[in-house]
Amino acid sequence: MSADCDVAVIGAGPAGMAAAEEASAHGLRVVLLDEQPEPGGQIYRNISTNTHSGAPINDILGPDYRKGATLARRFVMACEDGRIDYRRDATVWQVDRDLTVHLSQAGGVADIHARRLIVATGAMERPVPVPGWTLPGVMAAGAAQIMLKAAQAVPDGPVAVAGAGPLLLLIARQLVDAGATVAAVLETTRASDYLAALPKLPAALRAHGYLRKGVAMRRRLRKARVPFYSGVRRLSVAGSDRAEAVRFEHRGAAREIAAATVLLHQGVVPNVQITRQLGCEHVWDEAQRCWRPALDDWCNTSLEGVAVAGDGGGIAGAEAAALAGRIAGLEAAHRLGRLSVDDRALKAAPLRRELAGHRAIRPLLDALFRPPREILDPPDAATVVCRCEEVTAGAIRDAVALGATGPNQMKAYLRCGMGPCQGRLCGLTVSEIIAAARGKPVAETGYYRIRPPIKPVTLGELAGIDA
Amino acid sequence: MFRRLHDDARAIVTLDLDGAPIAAREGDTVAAAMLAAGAGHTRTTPVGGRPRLPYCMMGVCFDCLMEIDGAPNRQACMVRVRDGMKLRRQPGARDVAE
Amino acid sequence: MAHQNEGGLQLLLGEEELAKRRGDIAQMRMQAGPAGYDCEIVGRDEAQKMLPDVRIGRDVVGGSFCPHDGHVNPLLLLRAMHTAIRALGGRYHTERRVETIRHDGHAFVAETPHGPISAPKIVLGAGHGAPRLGPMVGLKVPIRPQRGQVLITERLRPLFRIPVSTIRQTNEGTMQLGNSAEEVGFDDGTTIEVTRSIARRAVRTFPILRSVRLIRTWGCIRVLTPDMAAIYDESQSHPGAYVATSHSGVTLAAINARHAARWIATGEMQPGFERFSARRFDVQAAA
Repeated sequence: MSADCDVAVIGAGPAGMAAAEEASAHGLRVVLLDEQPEPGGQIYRNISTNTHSGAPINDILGPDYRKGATLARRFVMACEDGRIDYRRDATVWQVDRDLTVHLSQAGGVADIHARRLIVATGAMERPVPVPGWTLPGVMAAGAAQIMLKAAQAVPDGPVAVAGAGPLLLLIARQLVDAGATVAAVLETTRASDYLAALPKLPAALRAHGYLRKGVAMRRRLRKARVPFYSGVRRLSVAGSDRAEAVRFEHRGAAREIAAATVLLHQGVVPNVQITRQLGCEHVWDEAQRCWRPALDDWCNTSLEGVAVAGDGGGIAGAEAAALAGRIAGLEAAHRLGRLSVDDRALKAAPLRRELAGHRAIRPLLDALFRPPREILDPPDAATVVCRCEEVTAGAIRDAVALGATGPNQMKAYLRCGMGPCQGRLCGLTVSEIIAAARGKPVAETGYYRIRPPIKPVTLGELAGIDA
Repeated sequence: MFRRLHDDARAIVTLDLDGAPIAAREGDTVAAAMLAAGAGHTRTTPVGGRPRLPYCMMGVCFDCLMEIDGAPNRQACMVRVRDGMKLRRQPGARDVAE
Repeated sequence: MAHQNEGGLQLLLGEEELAKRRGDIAQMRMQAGPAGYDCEIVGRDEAQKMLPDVRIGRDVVGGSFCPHDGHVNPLLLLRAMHTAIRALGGRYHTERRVETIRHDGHAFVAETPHGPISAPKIVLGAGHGAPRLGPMVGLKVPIRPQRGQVLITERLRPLFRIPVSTIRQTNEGTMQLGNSAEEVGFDDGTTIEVTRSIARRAVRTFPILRSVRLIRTWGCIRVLTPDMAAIYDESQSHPGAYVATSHSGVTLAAINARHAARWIATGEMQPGFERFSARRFDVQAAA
């Protein structure tokens, strides 16, 4: 099959933009496919529009967000120069092992055959299955941030922000600055987590910028008199047809705080749909409590010609993602004969040094913000785990008792993971519940087999009728 | 559910939600418009008939499924608004009536 | 289990398919003899009458209708069987791969990595594992793998009053489309060529399906004998050792649960059951 391009990059977040730009700088023909109408991914969503408009939203989102503007500008320039064929609003629904990418765009379908593929599909928020998390008004914390970036809107009425991770405080701070009423910040992080994380601190000091930001965010929230609860447990959302209050245990006492919007967050995990669908080897990351594709030093997966750059290969943040994108771009240039081994090494060296700096903070963050057991393996039998098929934690444990041994058998028992989200919002939880119920490690329990299409496609599109 | 920041200067467009007008801003996704209009829910589930609103806003959760300009089960968070767009809350499993 | 048994339709695209289907029915009638084979060719208009809620496509020239056809939700059937095994006192051991089978003079002994399990009778229902285990108890199991690919759609409001072969709607609303037959060994992947052709056929048969979304595709390995019919056999050298293998265990679930189980438990055989012995393939080889 003749190739339509040298490199196909999927995703226009920091990793994808940097990878496309780097590869194109070495004379490779690059196509970049992205589902959104504007580059930036979720982290830098609407970056061009927002920075161009100069609206006050930029101040609320802060300097880390604005850093994306430089990267986006360089990327857009490369597109305008004709060095990158940037296809926006393009949904990839299948990738074949011969590196043919199938996509839908504006109601039509297309196939692109590439010589190399760089998957830069980033991260998604870890599912937070607590009682009531399917109620209207309960959202992933990142969803509220997207509302800020893309719709310049904040939750109306009291907001509770609950969970753990650096993004939790950032979003609380942004909401306060945007004028929202943050009724409470509920941290699941406990004093014992801080103690457990202590040994990782010296290494993390190399990335002291991150630590300083954390302290500043806390100070800002205190100043705004946002009530703070640490070490909360038994989190749930109360309400009949919509969120009305958040309930939790704090220092042994049951509490309830009225909230019309509840934002949940337990860190982010790699979005592995494409690499899973391709059949790349994946490994269980015990520290980050998630799966990631097995990668070599040059971002290559186990499948020849397929690389992963950015958080899709393991969580390290936006700046690290852009650096990994450049490394993947250099590797593409090398493999396609545009860069010698020595030049590749030479160009990668400073990127690797910088990358090591960003990665230094991770062991501390991973230890500190480890999701509590009750989030990974919801104890309450009635808690919905699979939002699409409305399968509960209790039903999953019952099926284990009947003989289901893994996530793929569980589909046959309960249809969990078989709805339109294709397991994205339940896969990690289902594996954790089965592993716990059977007394086996998650690594051995495995994950759903992801089959095409990774995004729903109409029969007309697949049939090639609606082209 | 959500309210706009005072300084949002984008143009207003009008959408039709189940026969009633709702306002949105140019550049919004349909899901964002639903949240900003306080529209209550985007769909009911096909299994339990429960109301849902968007959870992720980035195309992974499929809780924002709606009928948009006659096409059922579309991800409202992945579709931009257009003046006069016809929206319907997705009522459980879709119909395929001719 | 959402069992429905009021007949089923197979829709045919073009005169060539119609002619072939007529031939297949004639052959089945000949083989069945006096027992009869209850399946009729129906015209396009008649087929349309059986499916009043959905318009059939221009290319559909007619179909065949069998009043005995029906369907069941396979996932619910699986759960029902597991629940019943448990309720009846059966024990289901997972992750106990049988390495060897022998007879110790009193009973059969199946060796597994977690210790032996012994019983006076043993039934091989191991699918593609049966050819490895069969010879240990004097059973030949001539089967081969064949891949089938299937498409699953989003949930839809009920569309069909009766099941339609290869375009079936389950009780929860999803549509299962297609069946390919590929000789690719144990590769259970999917290919764009096959899924595309299944989608084309579905849309040609029911144009309304064009806007329906596909949620999942999958490939699966059939267990096929040379004549595609089931094998039910008892070992001649090791009485008490049986093999039961078929495509598919869902379609033949009632036969397995009633006739095959009674035969194995009591020796009482349904008339005609002996024809499913694997010895039929020895005869063919000799002829």
